[in-house]
Amino acid sequence: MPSKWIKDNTACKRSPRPRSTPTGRRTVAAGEAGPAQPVERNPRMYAPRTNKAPKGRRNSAFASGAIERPATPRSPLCTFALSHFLTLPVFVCLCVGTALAAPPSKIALKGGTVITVSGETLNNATILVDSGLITTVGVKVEVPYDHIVYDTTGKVVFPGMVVAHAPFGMDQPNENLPVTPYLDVYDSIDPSQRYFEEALRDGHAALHIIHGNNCVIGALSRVVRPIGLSPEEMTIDQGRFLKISATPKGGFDRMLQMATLRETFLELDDYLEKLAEKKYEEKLKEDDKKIDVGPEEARKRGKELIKPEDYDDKHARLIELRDGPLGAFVYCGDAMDVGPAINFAKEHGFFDRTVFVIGPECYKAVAELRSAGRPVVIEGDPIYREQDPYTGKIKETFVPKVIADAGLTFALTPGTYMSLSERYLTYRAAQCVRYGVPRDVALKAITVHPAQMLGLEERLGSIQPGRIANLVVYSGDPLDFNAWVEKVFIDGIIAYDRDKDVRLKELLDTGDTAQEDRPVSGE
Amino acid sequence: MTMRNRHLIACVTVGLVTGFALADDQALLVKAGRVDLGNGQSLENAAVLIQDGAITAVGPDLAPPDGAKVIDLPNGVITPGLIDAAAIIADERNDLARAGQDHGHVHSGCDHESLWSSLMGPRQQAACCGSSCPRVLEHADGQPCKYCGFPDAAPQTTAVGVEPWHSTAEQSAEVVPHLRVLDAIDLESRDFDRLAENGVTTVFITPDSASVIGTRAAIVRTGGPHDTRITSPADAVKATFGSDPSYRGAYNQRPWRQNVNLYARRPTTRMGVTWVFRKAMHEASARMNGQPLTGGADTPSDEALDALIAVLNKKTPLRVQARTQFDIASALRLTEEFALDFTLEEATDAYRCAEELAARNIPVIYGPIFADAQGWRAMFGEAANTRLTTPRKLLDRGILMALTASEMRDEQGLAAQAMYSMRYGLTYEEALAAVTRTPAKILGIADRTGTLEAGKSADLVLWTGEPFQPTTRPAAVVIGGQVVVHNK
Repeated sequence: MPSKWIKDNTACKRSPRPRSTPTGRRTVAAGEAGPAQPVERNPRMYAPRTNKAPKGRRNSAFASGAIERPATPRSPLCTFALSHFLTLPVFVCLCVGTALAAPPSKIALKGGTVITVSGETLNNATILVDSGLITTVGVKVEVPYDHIVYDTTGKVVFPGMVVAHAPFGMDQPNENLPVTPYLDVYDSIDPSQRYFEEALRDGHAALHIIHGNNCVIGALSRVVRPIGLSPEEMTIDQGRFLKISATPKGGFDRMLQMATLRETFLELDDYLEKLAEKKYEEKLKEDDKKIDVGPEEARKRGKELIKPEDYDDKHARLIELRDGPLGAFVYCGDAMDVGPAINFAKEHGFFDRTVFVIGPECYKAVAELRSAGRPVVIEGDPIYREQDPYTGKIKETFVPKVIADAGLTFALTPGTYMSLSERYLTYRAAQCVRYGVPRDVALKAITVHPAQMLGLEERLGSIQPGRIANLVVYSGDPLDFNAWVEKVFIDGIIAYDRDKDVRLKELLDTGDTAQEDRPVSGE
Repeated sequence: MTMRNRHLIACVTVGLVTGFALADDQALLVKAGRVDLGNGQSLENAAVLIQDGAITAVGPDLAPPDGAKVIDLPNGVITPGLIDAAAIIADERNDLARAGQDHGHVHSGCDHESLWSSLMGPRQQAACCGSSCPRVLEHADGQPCKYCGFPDAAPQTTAVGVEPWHSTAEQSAEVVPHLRVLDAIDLESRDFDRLAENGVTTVFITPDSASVIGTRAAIVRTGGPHDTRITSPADAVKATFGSDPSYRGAYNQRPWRQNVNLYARRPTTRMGVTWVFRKAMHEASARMNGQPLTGGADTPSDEALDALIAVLNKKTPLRVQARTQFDIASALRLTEEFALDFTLEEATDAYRCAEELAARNIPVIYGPIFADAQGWRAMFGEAANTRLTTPRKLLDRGILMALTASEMRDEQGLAAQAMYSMRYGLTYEEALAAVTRTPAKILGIADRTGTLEAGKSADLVLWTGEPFQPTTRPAAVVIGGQVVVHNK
């Protein structure tokens, strides 16, 4: 693939992937003998996978064969997708990898309204793009002769939106085991999933693919674009965040959840002590000496001998979480989880690199969130409904308004793509406007603020020189429900064109052509 | 329904303060930047004057009489109250369940949202989180299941089965047009409050589709003075063609789990469903003409026959639910045999037989609009061929079309259905008509509601801005002259 289109951005300063296989086991280089003894493992952390279903709510009736999956009806898009996937690779093969014609590296979007988000909204403006980056944004811009011009007169150009928390597009969003920081969503991302196609269609240009909420400590996440044939091609930014949940995993209660979290770091300390002792012993063996000091002193001396490549994946990640550069997205489903989550992050050193993912009930903990001052991702339905146990009256609260009024930086997340309205991030922003959140705050919540949370505000979320050219061309104002996404540019390449969206056309076509119309039978 | 007092939580509430009580002779003036009368006319900076539950005047420069209460929203828009011509009224247990939405939150246990799960119906989705409870689909929000005690969140329930409380599915026989759905409806249900908050002022409560020929529907208002809430206590008879009568029968369990076992009695296929319908109409026709009945299995009771005779005489309207093209074809064929007119409900495949429907002047209540069927529509498999532009096509063929939200509320409620229809081809005026004047006409209540004209019932909605947009919501809802919803 042409490497100029895809920038490889290794955020972590660790050595690259060959250190461990995707399964997380340490590799043994060719010629090197394997370890003499089996590596001692905490049996609870590394419970061997058996076919027995885990206890608790998540009894998989399918795994045990108790229930057969019956044949299910399929939606028209799914049928179409599955039957035509290989013959109509409209989105998947678009940008790179084809040997036919290289996409133009210099383009201009001329003559529309440009909502920069970071600055003023410009009318009759022009955007120049070179090699995937925006070079110029302005009103009286002369288009150089060698730029391909896209006429956006009468349209509205908006930054490609950023989804701050997307536990989708994977094999499964959750791992069975509770503590799995050694895992990487890279192994799970499936580029062919419908989720990516729908994200592209809706103008969501950067997706933070992350472990689901059903964990204690989950996998390392990744920010991807919705196009590409492999996770490498899709990657915008490699893993910077682990997923942590303060809300109990299925089958756990809060006591066990918090105990598991604490025990993880206690085990880390224990591991480091043992590793230090081991290193000192190895050094003594090298020097052909006998052990001469007590365990305390041995650990002290051995600590200085530890090198980063001595850690296994799990502990390496935990150390990087505690000491940096990794951060955490901490899920708090209920209000009571916010306090413990804040305390836990502070106690273990990653509070300044934490983003809180909150369920709607957490509006009740807005005071704690405000004093914490960390950014917040509002997941799921932004309206929280509760029923008074005595009177039965229902009280509804629009959560983003509470969060916005507290002055917190927040990001919105779309609903499922199966909802014709909630699938759009712009619809979430429109809901915010409906309940009194200022329009510019709502627009930031789907563009620059999620980019900031991911540490990518220099590259994503706004239309400014130097940013990645992720641009969405709307037929009208993004918050107008009658406006459609017409074109999506990803890295300056036109990745989606509504005129060529065959699958959408199918949904909008009631078949006034001869072959679709059938006479009514029944005589 | 008495006016409800609700708490106002400063600056955060979505829900509302009470409407306020008006004195008996106190007038109400509702003013806005624009008044859409519902008959194609629009007035700038106009108002609606209301007295004694009725509209007395609509126009610009209306002076409020002495002592009148005034609601004024200069940037707002007034429309007639919305009318849902095929609403499924939820029972109390479903209050917090958002019907048909957002499967991402179905399972608290497994967070399932993979490609596979997007193909699964709700039954498989719910089951995959490990519950083998046979009533898994009835795990309502926050309520422990009475079979397995499992607190799960289901997108909606396929409700009913054979529970005696809050059920609108009478399953003691397949032909029950002598019964009234209104008798099973709790008019104090919070579902009506929710509808009112969404701007829906009148609903046609459609009977359950578990019976081949079901009960008689009811038309009620969602709020307002108690004595004016019921518009029509025993309205159209509803018949269902398709999977519902036989599929729902499949849910019936062994007697030791249920009160009534119909497992052996229900029609199990469409062959049985059409047979039951045809036989019932034939027997009614025979009774009407003084001829002896054929008798035997599936003979309707005498009361049912009397009710069906009223249908044959066109004294009682007929409502037919059919989703697929061949079910619509069956409906057309069978009703033609007995010279019956009907109104078609659901009609997912109506775009495939629009000409036939136009030729027989069949009005269509279409909705909800979706691309991926969810809930029981996904399970029954009849909604797989839906098209988003069906309302556009039906209107182009001259078919009288009203939109319905069915069991959907809030973000997928009737106002949202109008919003969708506009995105997929309807103009604002067409969408407004499809939720106001057209359903009023189809339901036969156009003389008293559906447009804002002097003499009609004061059913209106004051929106915070352009109606049917995601950035606006109802600021006030007036039903029968009573301010039922008033958001500050």
